[in-house]
Amino acid sequence: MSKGHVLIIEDDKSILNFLAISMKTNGYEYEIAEDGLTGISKFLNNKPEIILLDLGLPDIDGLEVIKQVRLTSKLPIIVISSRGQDMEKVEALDLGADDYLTKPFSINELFARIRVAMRNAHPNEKVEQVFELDGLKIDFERRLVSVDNEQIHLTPIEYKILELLVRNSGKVLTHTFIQNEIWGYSEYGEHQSLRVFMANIRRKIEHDTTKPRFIITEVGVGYRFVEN
Amino acid sequence: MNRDPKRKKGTLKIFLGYGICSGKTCAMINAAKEAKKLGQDVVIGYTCFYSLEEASIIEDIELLFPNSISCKGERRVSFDIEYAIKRKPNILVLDEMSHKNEFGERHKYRYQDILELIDSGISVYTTLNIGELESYHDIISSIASSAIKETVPDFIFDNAQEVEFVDIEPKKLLCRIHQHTNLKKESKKDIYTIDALTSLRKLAYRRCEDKADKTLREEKSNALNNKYYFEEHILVCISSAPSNAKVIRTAARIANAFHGTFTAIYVQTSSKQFRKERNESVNENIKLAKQLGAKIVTTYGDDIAYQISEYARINGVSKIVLGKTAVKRSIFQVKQSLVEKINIAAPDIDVYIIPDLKSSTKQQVEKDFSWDIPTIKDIGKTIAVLTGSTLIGALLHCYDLGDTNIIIGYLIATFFISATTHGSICGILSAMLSIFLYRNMFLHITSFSYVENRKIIITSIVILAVAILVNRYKSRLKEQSEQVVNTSLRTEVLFNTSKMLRQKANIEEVIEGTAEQLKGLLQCSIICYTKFDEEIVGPKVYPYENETIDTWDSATQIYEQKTVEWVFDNRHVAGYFTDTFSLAKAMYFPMYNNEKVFAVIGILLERRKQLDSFEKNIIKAVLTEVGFVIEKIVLNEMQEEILIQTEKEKLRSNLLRSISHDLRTPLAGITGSASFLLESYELLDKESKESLIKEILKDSTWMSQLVDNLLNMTRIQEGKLLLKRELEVVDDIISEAISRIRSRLGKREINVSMPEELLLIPMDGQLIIQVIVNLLDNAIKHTKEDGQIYIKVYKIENSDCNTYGKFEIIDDGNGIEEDILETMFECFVTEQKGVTDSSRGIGLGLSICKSIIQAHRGEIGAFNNRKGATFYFMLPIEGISKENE
Repeated sequence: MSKGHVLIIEDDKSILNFLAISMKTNGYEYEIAEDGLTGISKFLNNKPEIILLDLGLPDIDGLEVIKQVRLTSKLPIIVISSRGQDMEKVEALDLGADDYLTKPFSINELFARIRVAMRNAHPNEKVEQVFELDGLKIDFERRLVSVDNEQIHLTPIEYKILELLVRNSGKVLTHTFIQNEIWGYSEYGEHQSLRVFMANIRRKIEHDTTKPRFIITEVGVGYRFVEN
Repeated sequence: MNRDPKRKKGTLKIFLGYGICSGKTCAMINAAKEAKKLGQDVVIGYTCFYSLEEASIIEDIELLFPNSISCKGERRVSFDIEYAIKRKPNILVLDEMSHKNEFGERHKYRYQDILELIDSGISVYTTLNIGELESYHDIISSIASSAIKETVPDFIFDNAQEVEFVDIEPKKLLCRIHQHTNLKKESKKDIYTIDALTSLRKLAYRRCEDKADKTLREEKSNALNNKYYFEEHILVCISSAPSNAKVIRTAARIANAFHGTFTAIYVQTSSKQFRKERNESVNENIKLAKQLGAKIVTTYGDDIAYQISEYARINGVSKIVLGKTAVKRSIFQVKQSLVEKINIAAPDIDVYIIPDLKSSTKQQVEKDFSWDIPTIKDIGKTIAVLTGSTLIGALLHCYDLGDTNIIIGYLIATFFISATTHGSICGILSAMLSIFLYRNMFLHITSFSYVENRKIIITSIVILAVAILVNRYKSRLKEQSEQVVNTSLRTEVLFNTSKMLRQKANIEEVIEGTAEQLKGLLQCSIICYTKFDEEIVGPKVYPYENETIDTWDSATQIYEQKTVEWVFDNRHVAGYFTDTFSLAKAMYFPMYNNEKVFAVIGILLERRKQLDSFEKNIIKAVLTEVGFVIEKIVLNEMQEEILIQTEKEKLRSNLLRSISHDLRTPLAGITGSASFLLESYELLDKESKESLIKEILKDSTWMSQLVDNLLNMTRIQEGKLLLKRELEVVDDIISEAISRIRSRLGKREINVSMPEELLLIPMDGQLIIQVIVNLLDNAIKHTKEDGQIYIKVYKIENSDCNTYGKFEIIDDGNGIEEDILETMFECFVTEQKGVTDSSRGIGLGLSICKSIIQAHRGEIGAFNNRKGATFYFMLPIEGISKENE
């Protein structure tokens, strides 16, 4: 039984080859589109469950593909970008892409992202009341957070941010997204207060802030709570 | 409209006649028609006919303005030069070169219009009467007994590419003149007799012949490669005498006739300087000499004859032209006339003397006395001193110490008053008063004897003589000191200017400094326009003290703007007080070097009304200095540019060489391993397969890091390193850097120590991460498998009270080799010299770190510890914003 139906929109032959082989060996069904327009049409006809999208395509802008897909569907999109495409990456995420990978990436990373994306696409109906990971415990009902059985105090905003991250664990959340969720608006390029909040949360929940266990900074993009 | 030195200039064709009605205009129109037939774009700017019927000959030539044709006697129409230049025909027909423009037009004279047209690449056809040439001014006056007011400088005629003499028999001309009854009566009667016309015709012929000859000789001398040939050198002396103009004109004609070079010399003496009226007439004469093509030389010295003869001797002058001045005889010194003196000083030079009857010595004597009304202070002083000497006299008289001493007392008083008061009145008055007092107080008038009377007369003469002499020397002394003051002022100003300018690093500063300097010097407000990207920017106003500057209405603004544009394009002085754009509010000077005008400085003279020649000279000297400085700066900049360019080139080629080498090494490994794997897959055991694959992975990771560095490097090298600076949390940056390097760590351990408080530093996160990655990578390379690496971050304050975030990466490896400690942040310095094959790394990493840190205005460095090395960098923290809840 296939783990899922993946549409790969990518024009680079060697990456395609590598992706195809790894998909096959890991039991995913896949199909390939070598340019954006073919990709869109295959998406419309074959109803894939997830899209891997390269941002640099020969015909149309990868961002355009995201826009088109998002018109009709909420299926997970994972963006593949090269180094130095930070701006496009963030833009893609803000347009509705679910996650991203930067070339070169390892195959484990890829499947981890795919798993997270698929899981988030089919959320568990029953919302967990308590979250536990590696000594961090969050009681959503009582709004209590403890580390190694020691209760810690979080301000309301810090708690909201942490909850948002945990609820989307494994998925990268852009600065803009978090700000919109927490404060309801976001000013372009103004993420300083968020950074300060994040740094404070980390200091409260992490043992060593330079080797974070829970919240990972995606520099220039946003934050990700580790996958459990 | 830019004046480009390489651009083709227009040519000037002059249709020369020797009287009115000689058919110049017709000849010109015919020539214009010919040119039009040959396909030239011919336009008539202005012509003047005797009747409208005559005007029909222009046929189908385009008129620049509807009223480009006028009839004699009508009001002359103004000529819009700006429109003409915009229209840019091949040939423009512009009648009457000697015309003086209406007040308020761009130039004062039409010949200035013509020069500008030619400069802008338009050829001009024009007409000229021989009598309107400047050098014939006096001759025409003597022939026709009425002076012609509007004249044209000779150099325009001499430089004209073509001159066509439109000849006609004098008799026929006279007939024609009589025909055209709409001429003014008097002009007919006075100028135009057969005799006068014949003389004029002769003059014109001679002038044309001279010109033809000159052209021929010039061509010859060009052909002879400008070899030196003997030439007459005519020197004329400029004086302030009103008749000097005639002398200069005569000299010009002599120079012309001998085909010689022509120099005008002005000897500035101490007593001549700084008398306004005189200076003005001297300036007029200098201007005239310039117009007549003379080179102007000014020398300084009291002995005029010596100055002239020395200059003549040194410069190989063959003929000196002088005006005959009446010789001032002095009682005290027997003066030789100037001519005699020159004859003695330079016996082998011909001296030509032009009678100069109008100049008189009267003027000169007057100058020694000033009849200014004395001030109250001076009068008070006079009274006090006289009273004093009278009292002393009375005292002496009481003790009967003799009249002689009393007289000496008065003499001293007179001397003192003459010497110390302003002007001559007090001195002479005190002399008279002394005599009066002496006579009435100390002599017994009743016993007025013959002897007494004679005595008093002689005393009076002596006292008066003292007063007069003292006054004379006083005024001379005053002038001399004035001159000294002025000269030293000038020297000081120039010295200060050049000192000030030398400190200026760029052109903007130079312009600013010059404006300030001129403001102080001229004591009036200065405005300044600069050019930026072909756009005129300004005016920037430098008000003198608190002088308010009226805001200009829009019309004035447009006019000033136009003037400034003109100065920019023509690099010539214009505006108020000049012949061009004389309605402007300010006098505009260009600041330029060989290539272009950098700025235009305007001097607001409204309150001052005028500049004296001293000030004008100083402005010119300052601007020349500025020109040199600007030239120097431009050259420096160019040199720097070239240097940077070569540096860049060098770097680029080095980079290419290293990259190709360093990319090839891991690539060879990858290709080798991969192909081996493919070929012998079946034969290899699992372990060797794994090791080959690991090798491939290692090489490609290394390559991808190299490419990252290269990408950053190109961003930096192209000067496009636009920092995306944001406040970043240092913890995030460090953890990201560590996570990137983790795969290469092996068993090495990284220990991080961070400050308690949250550290936010403005930076380009990606780049700083790269720096830390590079430094960590460096540390990994130089430590053993189980080495320790420490990262320390803390806040420091430097001596200027700026806070920095200091990052230290410390390892326990073998330290940095001493000989590369200095250079390792340069490009391509690695520890192993020579063979780079053995080691990975092209020495790019550290140099990129340096570039990035420098772009952040930070500092980077390294030093050795007892064991291992410390690399550190500092980033400035500007205004940490702590936004806790």
